[in-house]
Amino acid sequence: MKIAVCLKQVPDMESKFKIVDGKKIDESQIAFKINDFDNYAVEAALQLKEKLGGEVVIVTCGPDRASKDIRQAFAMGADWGIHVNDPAVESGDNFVVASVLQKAIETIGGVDLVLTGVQAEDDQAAVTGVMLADLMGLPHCTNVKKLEINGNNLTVNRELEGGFNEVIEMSAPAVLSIQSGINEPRYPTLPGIMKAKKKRLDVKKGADLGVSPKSKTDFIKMFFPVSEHKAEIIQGDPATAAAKLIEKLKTEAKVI
Amino acid sequence: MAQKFYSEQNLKFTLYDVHGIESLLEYDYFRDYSRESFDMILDTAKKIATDFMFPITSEMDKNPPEYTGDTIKVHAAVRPFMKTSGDGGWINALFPYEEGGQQMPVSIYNACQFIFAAANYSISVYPSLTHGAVDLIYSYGSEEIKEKYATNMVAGKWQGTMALTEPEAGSSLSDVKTTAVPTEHGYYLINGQKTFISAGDHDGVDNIVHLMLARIKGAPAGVKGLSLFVVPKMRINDKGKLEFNDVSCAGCYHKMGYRGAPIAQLAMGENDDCRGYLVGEANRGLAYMFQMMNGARIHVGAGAAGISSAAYHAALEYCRERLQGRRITEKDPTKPQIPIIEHADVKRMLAAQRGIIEGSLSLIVYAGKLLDLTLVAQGEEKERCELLLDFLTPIVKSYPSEMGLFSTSLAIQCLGGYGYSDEFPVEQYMRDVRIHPIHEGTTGIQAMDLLGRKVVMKSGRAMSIYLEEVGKTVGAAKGIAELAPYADKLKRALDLLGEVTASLVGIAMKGETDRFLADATLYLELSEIICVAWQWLAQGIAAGTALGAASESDRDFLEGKIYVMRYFFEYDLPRIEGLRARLMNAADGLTVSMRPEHFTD
Ligand SMILES: Cc1cc2nc3c(=O)[nH]c(=O)nc-3n(C[C@H](O)[C@H](O)[C@H](O)COP(=O)(O)OP(=O)(O)OC[C@H]3O[C@@H](n4cnc5c(N)ncnc54)[C@H](O)[C@@H]3O)c2cc1C
Repeated sequence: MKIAVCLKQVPDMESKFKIVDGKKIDESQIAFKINDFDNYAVEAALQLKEKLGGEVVIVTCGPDRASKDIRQAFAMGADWGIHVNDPAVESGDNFVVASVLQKAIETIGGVDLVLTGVQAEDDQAAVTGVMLADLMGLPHCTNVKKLEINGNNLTVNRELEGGFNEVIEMSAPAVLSIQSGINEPRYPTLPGIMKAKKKRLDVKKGADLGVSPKSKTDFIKMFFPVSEHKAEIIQGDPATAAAKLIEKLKTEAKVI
Repeated sequence: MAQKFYSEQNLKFTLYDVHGIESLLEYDYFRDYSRESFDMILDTAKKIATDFMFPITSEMDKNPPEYTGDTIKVHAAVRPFMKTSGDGGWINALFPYEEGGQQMPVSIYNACQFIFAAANYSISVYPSLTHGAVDLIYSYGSEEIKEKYATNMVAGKWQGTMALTEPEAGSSLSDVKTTAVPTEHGYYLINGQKTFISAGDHDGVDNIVHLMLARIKGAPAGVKGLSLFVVPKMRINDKGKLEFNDVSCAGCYHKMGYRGAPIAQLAMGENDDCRGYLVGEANRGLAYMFQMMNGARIHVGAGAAGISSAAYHAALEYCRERLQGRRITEKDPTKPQIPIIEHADVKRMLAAQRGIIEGSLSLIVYAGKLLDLTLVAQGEEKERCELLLDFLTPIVKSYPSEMGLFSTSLAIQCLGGYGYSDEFPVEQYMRDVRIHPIHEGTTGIQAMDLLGRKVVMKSGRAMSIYLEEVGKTVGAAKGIAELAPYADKLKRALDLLGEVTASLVGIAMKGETDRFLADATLYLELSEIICVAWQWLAQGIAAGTALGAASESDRDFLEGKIYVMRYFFEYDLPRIEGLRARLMNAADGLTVSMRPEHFTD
């Protein structure tokens, strides 16, 4: 079974975040790491490989620094990887990334399963996996909490609100976005770290893959949300209070 | 927010900027490593420490091991941790490729041990003790022992121990009484008792393999008659099955701290059926143990510095958040209170802790690098490193251990009454760190090792190499305007050390050995302060160099570094004057002339 895992490098959320010019984060103060959800995806892929054979390929869009975390996945046991290192892609939105991932995965050829994390810890958009499935024309399932494979048949548990799961049957090839808690990701081993250095990592630009997608969204600005501690308790019996509230919503908040 | 227990930035600064660990990559032995693999190793250690070890630190303290009558029940995490350590390659990391190891530099390994100790010292010792035991087997054991015993030990399935201490033989190993009687089958029959054996029996593994000192029947008295044996709890019989080897666990002590790891009392040969397998040659046991000693003692230093680091970070977080009092110049009681980190006395306590922790860490990394160089350097350089390491070992062991107690106490002080309660982690750290001046040779024993052996060995050659190395740093700092005053201070400290040493050696020359060594512990303390001041000057040089191209956040770190260097020189280094005053009078033999009766009441 050939499995591609899309891995994103994200800031360690313990880092100090400083916004420069309302546009980007000052990276000099940030430690980077593998997106936590992707760790679960890597582990899920490795477990499938251990059971069924095949290979695990890591696919990443990111700048130079991202190679450290691709190698971290190699040290866990992934076989090789593709690193799309292109400033034009970097400045694009999730659609750009999904389009590039699609092409990169195509170059691998014969991929049976594509795994992504449910979302990235930094932008929390949770759309890349879904877009990728759509671009690839493959069935997909999000929030995967359990995964069983029998030939080409996949039985997956999808996590819902309130502790419920829905069980879905689908067939490979498919795209699954993996939820945390599906497994216990292994630690890289020391021999794994030494081997990781020697594993194949293809570095590509968007042009090498023949894609130059345009963002579907416009980035306007980045800021820390301002918390406004404004609350007003409307006094009176329910009928008058309700009337006052409607009045305020109309005239002050202008929302109705 | 997850709690911090060490500074990653400081660790990397110490490894790469201060001690240039990357220079080891020039040696063929370390050819497969790179800066990137070092960083990945440190990242992995951080991950294991943060996710696995740190969260159970307090729990292990509150639920200490229990003697069940035949073994010791330990925390349920011990078994998976041993497995993670075995599978992850941590137990065999330092061994050469031929032994299945990874030839990892000790300096990097010790940096990881520092991280682990900061996260949870108790759980960190299970695999590291096993590593120490396997090291002896790989260095001196037969192929058969390697295959039968070491294989399961490096896999983390079996625990390794170092079994030296006996009820009547602690500091004085020459009094070890456990006997070994040769048999015609090649093995020896072991009989005796051991005490305080760390991880000497527990249910987190399937077998325990002791590396034990015993005296072969008829061997000379004293340390020259001690041999090293592999004594498993369960031996492998002819059919390849495990069978009981007559090593009984007679109990475990309840300890003040470091409670997650048991110390066992053991009885060997109660049924005359305890087999021991000789490692290396007869009567060379203690010499073998001593060859491992430098590494083991640096490791103790790393453990102490790690625990102190965790206490410091807990204190730091608290000091930023705790609002108490106002600026001395603020007379208006309606103004809000300020975080205590703004009070000068609190900053003093935080700086003092950093002085100890970061000074210790720098020394530990340096000692690790020397150990690495003894492995790969040739000829004169190799000899220099060996002598220097021998000289520094008692200091690397004792300074972090003794000062760790003070450092963790300051951490408690930062939290005031809350620090004294078990709602906060710092009181545990103070209890945990207290072991370090005791095991692997007490401070008193280290002190006599330094003054009685290391200072005088090879006609003082080790010490002169040390003085040369410190002199090089002084020379480099002299050329940097901001550091020149500190270079001068260190130079004067070296002169003082020379003066005190000559005076003490003068006492020894008169044959008054007891007076010569009576204040050895003070001499050790004096040497430690100067040695750590040296490490601070080296850090000052590295920080000054890095400041030029530093980003804003790095600037805070580097400027803070230089502040703490200055702190160490201004607040700690002057303590040597008091020590000098006493040591120059050592010939009076004050304590030597006191009789036990003088302590009657
Ligand atoms: C938690 C823990 C773990 C341990 N783990 C192990 C282990 O795994 N394996 C093992 O073999 N041992 C272990 N030990 C034993 C430890 O190494 C000894 O406790 C230590 O060496 C001191 O021996 P002792 O306790 O008999 O003290 P003693 O030797 O009785 O010392 C008591 C005091 O007298 C001083 N003193 C003793 N002799 C002299 C002298 N000649 N001159 C001046 N002062 C002297 C000492 O410095 C000390 O202050 C452990 C101990 C503890 C507490």
